[in-house]
Amino acid sequence: MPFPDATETETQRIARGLHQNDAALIGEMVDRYQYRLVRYLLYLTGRREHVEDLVQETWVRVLTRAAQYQGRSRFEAWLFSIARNLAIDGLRQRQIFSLDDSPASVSNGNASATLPAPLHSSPFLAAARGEDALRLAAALELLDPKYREVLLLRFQEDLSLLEISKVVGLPVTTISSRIHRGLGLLRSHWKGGANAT
Amino acid sequence: MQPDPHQRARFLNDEALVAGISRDDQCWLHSHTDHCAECAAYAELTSRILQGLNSFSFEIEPAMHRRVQNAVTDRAQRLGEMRRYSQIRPWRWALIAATLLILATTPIYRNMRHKQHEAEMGRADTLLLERVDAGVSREIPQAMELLNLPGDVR
Repeated sequence: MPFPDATETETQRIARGLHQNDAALIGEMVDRYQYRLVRYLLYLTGRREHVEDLVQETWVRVLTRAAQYQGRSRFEAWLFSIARNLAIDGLRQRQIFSLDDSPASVSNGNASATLPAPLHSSPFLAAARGEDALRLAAALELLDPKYREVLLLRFQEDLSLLEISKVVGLPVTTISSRIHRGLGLLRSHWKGGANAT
Repeated sequence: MQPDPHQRARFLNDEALVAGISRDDQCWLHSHTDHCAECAAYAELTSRILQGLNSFSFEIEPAMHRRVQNAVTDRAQRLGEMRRYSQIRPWRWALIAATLLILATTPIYRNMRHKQHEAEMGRADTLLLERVDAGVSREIPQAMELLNLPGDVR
């Protein structure tokens, strides 16, 4: 068993632990990243249902694909890219299932009728503390997930544009314009909310 | 054509947060917002939005956290055991292959030895018979050789 190197960086330590299926390190990682992973999935999907399954699947995939992580980039960027792919796959499967098999979709011939109904309360409203946050939660609820996602990754996860582009799989220029657009939309919703009240 | 200074200020305000701006642009932006109430309000609103984003506190059920934690660490332990097993497996396969090779070649070797022995015995028997024949022919007393004449039909 190789001994840890004194000059080993944190990401290299994580990579080594993952390659060895070190259960203690995995437990530590779950503790450390669980909140951020849940928050990312909530921003991405906008709903609480399926989040636990997605979180668990994400960690299992982290274990099974451990060999792919070499510790050269931040762990959270890799974690979020895995979670993102699983969330999109899950959403796609649920839509395929509902489109193919739901009696409602057959009888109505209406695809939108089969999409899962949001089980509100909104996770953003539940997470809001204070007046500004409540107003912002309402704005986030209306915001397209593709903007919510990049805003979270840039301003709360503090990822660089390059890191976000790797998570999302889009060019840096697209990411930059999405963040600008997302900020603009939040400001508009905010002002709209302020005018409405 | 000169760009609209307010548009420029708002773009720079956001760009400073998104990717960062040069020192010159920072100086220009500060001097502009110092004198432009609308752009200062724009910057203030953006700042409030980002503070609002950071103030969210999502609750995670402790039970859910425990379930995930247990499931993931169990899986890690199983994968670790499988990994250790797969590390020693090639040696096991080599040992099994060597044993099978020995078991398969032993009867073949024995069979060959047996056939070789039989062939040697056969040659020895032939030689012995030849010698016996030769000995017998020599040992018939001369007085009785007449009895051994061909065509004797008694």
